[in-house]
Amino acid sequence: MVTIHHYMTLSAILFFIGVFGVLYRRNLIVIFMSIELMLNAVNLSFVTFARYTQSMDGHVVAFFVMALAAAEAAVGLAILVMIFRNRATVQADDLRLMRD
Amino acid sequence: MENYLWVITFAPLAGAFVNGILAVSFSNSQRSVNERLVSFIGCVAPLISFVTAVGIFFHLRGLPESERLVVQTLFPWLVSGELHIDFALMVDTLSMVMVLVVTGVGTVIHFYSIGYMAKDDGFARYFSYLNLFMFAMLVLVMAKNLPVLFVGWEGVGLCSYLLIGFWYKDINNAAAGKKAFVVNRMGDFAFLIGIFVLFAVTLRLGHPTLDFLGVRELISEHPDAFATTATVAGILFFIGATGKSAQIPLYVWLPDAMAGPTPVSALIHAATMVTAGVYMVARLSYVYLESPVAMAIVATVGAATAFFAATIGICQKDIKKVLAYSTVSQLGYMFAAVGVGAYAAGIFHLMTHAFFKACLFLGAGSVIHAMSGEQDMFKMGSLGKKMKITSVTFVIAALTIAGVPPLAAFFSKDEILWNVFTAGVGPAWLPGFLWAILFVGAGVTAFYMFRAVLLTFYGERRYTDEAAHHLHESPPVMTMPLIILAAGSVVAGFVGVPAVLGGSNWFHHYLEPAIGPIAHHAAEVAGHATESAVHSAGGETHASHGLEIALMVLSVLVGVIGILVAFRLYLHKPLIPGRLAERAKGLYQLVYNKYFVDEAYEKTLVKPGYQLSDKLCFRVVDVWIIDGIVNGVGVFARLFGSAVRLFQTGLVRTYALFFLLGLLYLIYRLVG
Amino acid sequence: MTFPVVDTNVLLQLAPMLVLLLAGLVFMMAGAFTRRAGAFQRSFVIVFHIVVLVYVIKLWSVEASPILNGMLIVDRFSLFFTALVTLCALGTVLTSAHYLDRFGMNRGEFFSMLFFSTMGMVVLVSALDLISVFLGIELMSLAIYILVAFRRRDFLSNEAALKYFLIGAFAIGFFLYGVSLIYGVTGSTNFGDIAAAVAEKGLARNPLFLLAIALILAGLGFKVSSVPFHMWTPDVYQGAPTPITSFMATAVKAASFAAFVRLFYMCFMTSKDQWVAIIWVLAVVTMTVGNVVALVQRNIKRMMAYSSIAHAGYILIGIAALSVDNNNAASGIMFYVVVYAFMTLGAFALISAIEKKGITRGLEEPDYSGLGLERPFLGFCMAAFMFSLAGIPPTAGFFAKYYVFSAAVNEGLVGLVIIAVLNSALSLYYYLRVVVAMYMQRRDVPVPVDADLGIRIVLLISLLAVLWLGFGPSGVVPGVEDVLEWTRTSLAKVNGLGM
Repeated sequence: MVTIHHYMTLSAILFFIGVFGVLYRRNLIVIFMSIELMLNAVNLSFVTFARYTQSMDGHVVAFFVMALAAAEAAVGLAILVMIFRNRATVQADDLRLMRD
Repeated sequence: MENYLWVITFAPLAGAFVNGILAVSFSNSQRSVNERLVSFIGCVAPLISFVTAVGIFFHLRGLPESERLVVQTLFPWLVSGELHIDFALMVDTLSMVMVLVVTGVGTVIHFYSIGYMAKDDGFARYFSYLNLFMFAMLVLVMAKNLPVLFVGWEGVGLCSYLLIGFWYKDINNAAAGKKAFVVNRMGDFAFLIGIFVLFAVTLRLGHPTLDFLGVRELISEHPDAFATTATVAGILFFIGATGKSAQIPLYVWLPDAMAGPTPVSALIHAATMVTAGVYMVARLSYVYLESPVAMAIVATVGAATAFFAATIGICQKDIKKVLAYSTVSQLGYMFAAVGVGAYAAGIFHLMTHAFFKACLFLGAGSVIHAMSGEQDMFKMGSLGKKMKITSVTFVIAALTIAGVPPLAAFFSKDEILWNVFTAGVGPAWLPGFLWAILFVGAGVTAFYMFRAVLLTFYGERRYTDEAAHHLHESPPVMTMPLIILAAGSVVAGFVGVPAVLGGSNWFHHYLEPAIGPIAHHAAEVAGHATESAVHSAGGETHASHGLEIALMVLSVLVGVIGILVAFRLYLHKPLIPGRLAERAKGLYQLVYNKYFVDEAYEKTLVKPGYQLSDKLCFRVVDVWIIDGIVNGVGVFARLFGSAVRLFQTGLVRTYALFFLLGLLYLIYRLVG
Repeated sequence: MTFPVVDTNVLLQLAPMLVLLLAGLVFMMAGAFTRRAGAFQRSFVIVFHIVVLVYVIKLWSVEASPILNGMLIVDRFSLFFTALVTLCALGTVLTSAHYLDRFGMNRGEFFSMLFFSTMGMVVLVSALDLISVFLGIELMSLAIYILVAFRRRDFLSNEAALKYFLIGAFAIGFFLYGVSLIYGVTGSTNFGDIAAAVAEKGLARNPLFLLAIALILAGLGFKVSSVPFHMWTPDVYQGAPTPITSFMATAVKAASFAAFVRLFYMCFMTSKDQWVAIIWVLAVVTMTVGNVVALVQRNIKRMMAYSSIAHAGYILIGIAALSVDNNNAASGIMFYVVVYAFMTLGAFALISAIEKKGITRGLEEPDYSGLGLERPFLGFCMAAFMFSLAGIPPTAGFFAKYYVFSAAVNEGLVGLVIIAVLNSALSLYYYLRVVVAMYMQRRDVPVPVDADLGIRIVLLISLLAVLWLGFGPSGVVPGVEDVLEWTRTSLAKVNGLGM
């Protein structure tokens, strides 16, 4: 029997996979993908709760999140392209001109 | 009309602002500032104040006597819990007199300054300061509550400091400014404590207020609650006044303050700022009337200062120093008056003094201007031939201060003497004693004033040919103010002709609503020791008329004797003073050196204070403890900062990691 | 089929957002068809801002009720912040005229993004639903990511944009996760319904609810740069074009705190016993770290970044002092944010006038030496802002702190206030260093300052505000309290419960 707890657990696992991806990967594109994973985990959670409480709000939020994730990806990739043009790198650790 | 009160204060502020900007923008440039523009702005600002003040005066006259009060609240200023203080202005009849004196005499002196300060490098700066002073002084006299008054009080102190050290490139001038500032700070400290004491009591009574009217109301309702407070606060306020108004023991700064430009000496250190203490005591009359002790102290210190400073005036060689000690002495008379509860008499003398002393100072300024900066009277003599207007106005003002009837000070000084004589302050012998001191002081005053007149304007010529070469009468912009002020010293007294001379003492009745306890309460208070004070105006009873006239004649006589002695010694037998000085060498040296008070202060207070601050406060407390703590904190904080900075690796990963750790902490604290 | 009729009243209430949207689109087009935004375009930018402000005034007296199915509410609280962020945007525009040309980024898109970002903030401050909070934050942030990256050839600008983007997206993920939990627990994302559900089901101590609060707090903490969610701040402030740094420090912070206050006031007050302790800790570490690390900064923009972190710490004290009984803390925060906006806008206006190309970029302390003597007005303004930031009377900064601190003392947070006062004392050290450089150090070549008319206007207005609010603030705070009281009653009417 698949209960709400299973869905929530899956969502949490996905979310933390995303979080650890952000923390441990060096390649900026992979970090982007990890952030997308976090957002999708959130979507799963919203849809689960929407189903559970029998309200439409959660579904709507999921669409909003998707739309904004796409917008975010567009901006993020644009920034990435710009950095690649100037610095010829997509490694997060190369970007530390500003510190302390 | 009350909506225009702000104009009175803010016109000079605007003038100060504009001239300040001009001064700053021309400070580094080679061009000099346009003096016409600066003087126009500088003089129009106080003129606007004066005209507005006259308008308010007529507005007040139109009101019934007991309602002569206009209030304008500009903005709520300090609001915190129980405390609610508005930045509010108030003009009652007492303030009105002060405002008219400040703006009227102030405007005249501004005009005079155009001539006196011409071609000075700091022309715009000078007018900016002078306007700023007008602003602060007007805030002081128009304040509706003690904190606003204190703002003005400190503001005039600041301007005084700035103007004494106006020619700051001479280290002595800067030092004089500093001395004035430091001495005043001592008084201000006491003044501030006085405010706190008063506030503490009103807070205890459940009506926290520092509003003049509010406190007045409260004292009328709960006189018992103020029994000791009135004494403590009264003395503290008076200590503040001894600083600002140059009374014993804090008078020492005023003679040094003559380092400033002479119009400043006239405006700030004679006519207006130094009278702030007298005004303040009169403003807080209802506090002093609750405390016979505080009143006796005020009166005694005032009389003592009056006499003491007058004697110093005898031996001064510098014309401005003579006038400075004369100011200290005259302020003593005013304090003696307000000390015995004769507030109207004190303010009356304040007003007449503003005219004749400003006239004397401006006359001295005219002389100094003509002599290219020479201030030693023994290098002058017979200037009257070359400087007709200056000498005539100076003599009129000198006659006034000597108390020659019917000039202004005759009325005001006699009112003071009569009130002191009939006062009920302190032990039974005190009023008579104080009267005697003031009486002798009046004679001494007449003597030293005419000594100055004769040394400067008459007798033999003692100046060099070089000085004679460019000796000249001052331009009209300087002589006109002299004429106006001299005219003022002649007529100003007629507003207060006492009943015994057939007058109605209009001035006294005009001030009545603003002074003492609230009217409906006055009857009860009259039972206090101050009966004669509140209803003074010079003896209502018919029997004392004879006595009053007798005293009047006596004081005129003593003044005339003083003048005659001066004539004898400095015109007819000019060798006698030197011989006298030879014979009583010790005494002469003592008086000439101002009783060595400055030296005594230097030895007993300044030196040990300096030693203390250097050896203990600086070398131990400051270097070791304070610097130690400050630097220690600094070093520690910097170390800490450097350590925290290590986390700022510049790596996004680190930032995300800290974000996550922070979140985990939040979750732990919230959920765990 | 009936066509849905748009209520004109609703349209009127949306007018500020719609004007900003229109302006954003117009300048997007302008950017596509012109190479450089000249004085003509620039004057239209200003006109659009003024139109928004006119609508704010117009809406001021309109009775507020939730619109768009309870997603937004245009009450005086939101209008207050709408006006503030619009003024901040206007200040940014005025500051940037020569700056944009100097660094080759004077294009229509700059203003377009500024408008979109401002629109996001208006949505954020009017939000009455977690979804609109999310949308507002995203709209605001996406535009700002682009603005931060606007100096395309500049490595620091690139890097700042990327860091801000990554951490921002990361934070929004946590925030959304918190929203989803709230939704799961209460069954709604609407503020009023959340509050009602919490009261009804007794969720104040529900672990999932508290977990959601923690997640949302982290997300908002990121936006207001509270320690330990602050680490992007110095890098991004340093790398971003200076007018944008100014915009971020003032408008973003103000809008985020507005949402912060409304959300915590409406939804989370019943759990205050749980979260007040962690806000306490956050406030202490935020101001301490901000002040202490600011001490060791050389770059003035980084110094201002840490200063902004420290000020976020002071404002968090106000959050800790929020109370259902009175408006003291909330009005204190509102006043603080306004004062902070003015002094920061002013300071950054001068910083951007001095900034130049080259290795040091004119951002180090020696670049300010002698400024006060050479350029008295500019020096005086900067000194006033520094004194105000340090909280010295009679500047506005003093009263801003005073109101927040006194609200906290009334709530019994004496320890917190003592730490805050010690922190203020510490902050003097680095603020006054700028003043010392300006007035007590000399150098041979005069400072090249490019203070155009716009910058002078911003400086003058900020200076007047800092002094006016410093001399007579009592007139303002009751006004702020009125705004809040009015908002409270209007919301109480809507929800049937106190805000």
